[in-house]
Order: sequence, then C-alpha cells, then structure tokens
Amino acid sequence: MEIDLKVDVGKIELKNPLLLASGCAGYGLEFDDFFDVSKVGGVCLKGLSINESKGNNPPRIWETPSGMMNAIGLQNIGIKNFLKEKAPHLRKIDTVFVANFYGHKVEEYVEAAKMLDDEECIKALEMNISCPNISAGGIQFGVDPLLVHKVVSEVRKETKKPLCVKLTPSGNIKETAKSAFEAGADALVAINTIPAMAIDTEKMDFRIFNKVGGLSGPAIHPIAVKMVFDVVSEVPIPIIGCGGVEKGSDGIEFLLLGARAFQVGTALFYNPKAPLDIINELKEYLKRKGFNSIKEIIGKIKTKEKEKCL
Amino acid sequence: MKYIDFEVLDAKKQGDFCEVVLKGDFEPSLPAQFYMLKGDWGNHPLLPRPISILDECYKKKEIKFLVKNLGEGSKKLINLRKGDFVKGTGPLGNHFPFENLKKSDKIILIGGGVGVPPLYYLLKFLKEKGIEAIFLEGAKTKGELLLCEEIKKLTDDFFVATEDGTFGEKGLVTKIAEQFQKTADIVFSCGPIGMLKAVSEMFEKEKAKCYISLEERMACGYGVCLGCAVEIKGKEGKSSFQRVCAEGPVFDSRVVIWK
Repeated sequence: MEIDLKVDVGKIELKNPLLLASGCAGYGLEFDDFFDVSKVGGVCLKGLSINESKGNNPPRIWETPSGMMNAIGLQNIGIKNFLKEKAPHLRKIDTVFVANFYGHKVEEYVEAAKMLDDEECIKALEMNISCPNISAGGIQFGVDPLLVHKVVSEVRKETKKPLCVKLTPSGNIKETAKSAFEAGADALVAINTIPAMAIDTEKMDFRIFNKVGGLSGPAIHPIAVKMVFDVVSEVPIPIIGCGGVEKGSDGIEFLLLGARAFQVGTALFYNPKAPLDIINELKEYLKRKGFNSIKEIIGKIKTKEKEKCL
Repeated sequence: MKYIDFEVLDAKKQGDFCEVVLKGDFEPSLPAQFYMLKGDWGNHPLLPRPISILDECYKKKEIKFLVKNLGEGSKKLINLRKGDFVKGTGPLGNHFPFENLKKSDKIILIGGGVGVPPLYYLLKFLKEKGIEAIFLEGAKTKGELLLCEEIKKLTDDFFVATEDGTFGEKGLVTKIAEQFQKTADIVFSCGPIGMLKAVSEMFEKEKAKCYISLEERMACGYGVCLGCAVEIKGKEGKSSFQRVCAEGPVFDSRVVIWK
C-alpha cells in the first residue's frame, strides 16, 4: 500500500510535511538540476521586502562544527520584481509556495503582506520577525511579546492568506508564540537561526562583517527540538519545526512532538538532493513502524504529560 | 550542473598539495568552472569545498583537481585515497571568455597558487584552438610552484617569479607582467586577492581586457545561499552584490569593487 504523506498545516494542505526553508531555497527555481521541486511539500521563498535589498557586506558566512553562521542580510529582489520575474514561473509548479517577508517597521510588514496578497501562486505567508542579521526590524520584533502582538495583528488585518510566523529562539519562545497566536497567526515556525559570533584570532577581527550571524545546521537541531516541544503545548495552532534537519529521523522528531510539518534548510547546501532522501526515509520509517499515514505519528509523544513529569 | 557520486581513481599527495583524479558521470566543463567537493567524512567539516577544475577527460569520465591544504576542508580533500568516495556538485559558475579570441591577440595568463590550475585548463582550451598564450606564474618559493612541466608543454612563453628568488625572477609575478602592460590585448588572471588587485590596477587604463577569477567562501556553490557575495559596479554609481558561484567566478576586472 502506498504510504500517505499528506499533512495539513491549518488551512494549508501539503503533499508531504517537508518544506524548503526560507533563505536556503532561493526563489524556488534553483533546484531543477537536482530534483523536481513539485516533489516537496512546499517551498518557503527567500525573505522578501517591499523594495529590493542589497544585503550585507562580505564576509557573510563562517563554518562552525556541524553548522554554519550566516549574515546575508536578507538580500532580495524586492516584491515587485518577484511578482514580475519569478511568480509567473512558480504558478506552473505544483507545490505550495510560501512567501517569507520582512520589514524594518510595522508599516513595512503590513505593506509587504498587502503586496503579496493577490498573487495566486503564494498559498501562505511566513512573517520573518526573527532575522538576527538586519539592523532594524527582524529579531527586534521577535523577542518582545508586545511587539510580536502588534506586528502580527496589524498584518493579520490586511491579508486573506494563511499567516505563519517564524519565531526566534532568542527571548522567551513560549511568550512570543502565545503573542503570535493571540494576534491571529495561523501557524508558527520554530525556529529561525540562533544568533552567534566567531572571531578570527589571527586577524583579531570578527569572522563575519556583520559581527553577528545566524547559526544553522545539524548543530542546532536538538535546540530546535526543545523549542518545538516548548511551543506545541503552549498554543493550539499548528507548528512547523525548523532547525538542522538533514535526515528523515530529524524531521520525524518534530512530528512526534506534534509539529505538523518541518523545514529543511542548511542541508541543501551540502546535499542538494537532501529533500528526496528525507522523503524516502519518511516512507521507509512509516513502513517499518507499520503506519499507513504520516498523520498517525504526529503528536505521538504526549508533550503535555511529559512536561508535568519534568 | 549535477550532484554526482565520484570515486577517487588516483590521489597524488605532495606536501600541502594533492592531485586528485575522480571518476563519475559528469557533464563537460569550461575553464574556471569548479565543483563543490566533499568526501564521506560526515558533518565536520559540514560544507563542501569549491575546487577549480584542473583538467578532464569527458570520454573516460575522469576529472582532475589540484587541491591545496588551506584549512579543515581542503586538508580532508588532500588526504583522499584511491577508492574513496566523493560527492561533487558541478560544473559550477561561468568561465573565462575565450570563445572569440583571435590568433593575432596577445593573450597573457597570470596565475598564483591555486589560481594556476584553472589557467592551465584555459591554456589547454586555447592550445586546442591553435591560439598561443603567454603564461606568467608566481609563487612564494620554488617548492610552491605548480604545474610548471605541464605548462611548458603547452607554451614556449612561460615566465616564473618567486618572492624569495629561488626560481625564475625574484619578486612578484606582477613585475614580469609589467613588460606586457602596453601590448596585451587580453589578460586572464586567477590567484591570491592581492595579486588580482595588482593585475587589475595594472591594466585598468590600458587597452587590454582583463578578466579575473575570484574566490570567496561558499556554502552551496549553486546560487541559493548568497554567501559568496562580491560587490560589483552598476549603473548610475549604484553597486550590487553578485554571487561568485553563479555570476562569477570570472568577472571583468573593471567592474569589481575591491575591499
């Protein structure tokens, strides 16, 4: 019997729970040489802003044990260019495209969401209130529950599309998750990269021009698992796990805790076919464990009871 | 480009360098293109490393790289052995624009360190087209000179400079280049950033077109991570960041904004 990998994240239906993470998947058109993008559950596009953005000065990346730091600075082509140059191609691809977007102030988030609202190929929005690499906005919103509430509720009023909010691991994630939920978010993504720093001891300088970079990759996976654990029992909306997924079992960890889907990011850099490998591993796991549908394992571990035991 | 399973056919290690021959089902490449290479050593180091193509035989499905030990990733690569498996994504990036060169053009190739292999690969392409080129190579010391015998086989005009004077002219390779400053029609260069900057400045006000192949740290190599940014002059005094892996590695030296 064919294993059923279909999941739903609130109103968003996915053919499987694997989404490509924003910032690691370009505009969804860069993978044709490696795999058919319509095989993945969805693609979270590179973070978009109202106007195009140049990004940070190099050096922008630094490798760390089992991970990497980046401070790209959300370089992007801007929403207008995206809608004109990229969206027409995306309309032909049968998967869920999620538009990640950000602003430097509340009004910019609202304007960006409005601009994306009528594009048919965009099935959901992912608000980035957690980028550690831009001078204003981003993580400044994400760590303060009051600001989270403000920016999410303002955007909520202006968009018909399902609204996901990508949370930062900085600050108190239970509080920010609650704020985002109360402000009308349809789903939460946990987590964005972890603010990090590395020093070149020879040059006596920062490894990354921006000084701070976001840590990603397998190194942060256990932290992301803990954060998903924290959030799933806190809010009644769907959670999407994100952080260091490189194999099927990494994604399954999130699902067992109750996440409805998970994202794959950094793994794409060192294995451009990682999504196909992971989807196969999901099927093999379900078969081996005697499940017909991936929905059967979602929330298999009772997080609330576990929490009481702590 | 493709994501390929390679097998190591041969690995000749000499000091800090290793010439690695891989076998796999790859697509034909052009000079200055590169692969992201990683052996099956797990997650440390995590990311593959960008390595220029030295040579390839498409018919035999064999491709050659010259790797220098420059850090944790390349250290693993120089220690590869026959029979090991390597994953590679490529061929990546643009290439030295050699298609429209004429036999009458005065062509100068200027290379240093691991910038020499892609220029050697270019020299081979030129030779096949019956086009002559002058090759200038620089190194710190005699022991660090690369591919001298191979280059000599392809050109009679081969000049060497070592900083300590242990071989060829004493000093920087740019010193030898000066004699071609006024007469060169086209310059191709690859090597340390200081050398590329000096080469660019030398030919900036001359008639020669000057193409340089840049290096930058990369995560993906195929254009999605935007990690390998280089600042490029644009219209109306505006600049933008381009990707060394996708729009590069070869840029017209006159559009690069040096750090």
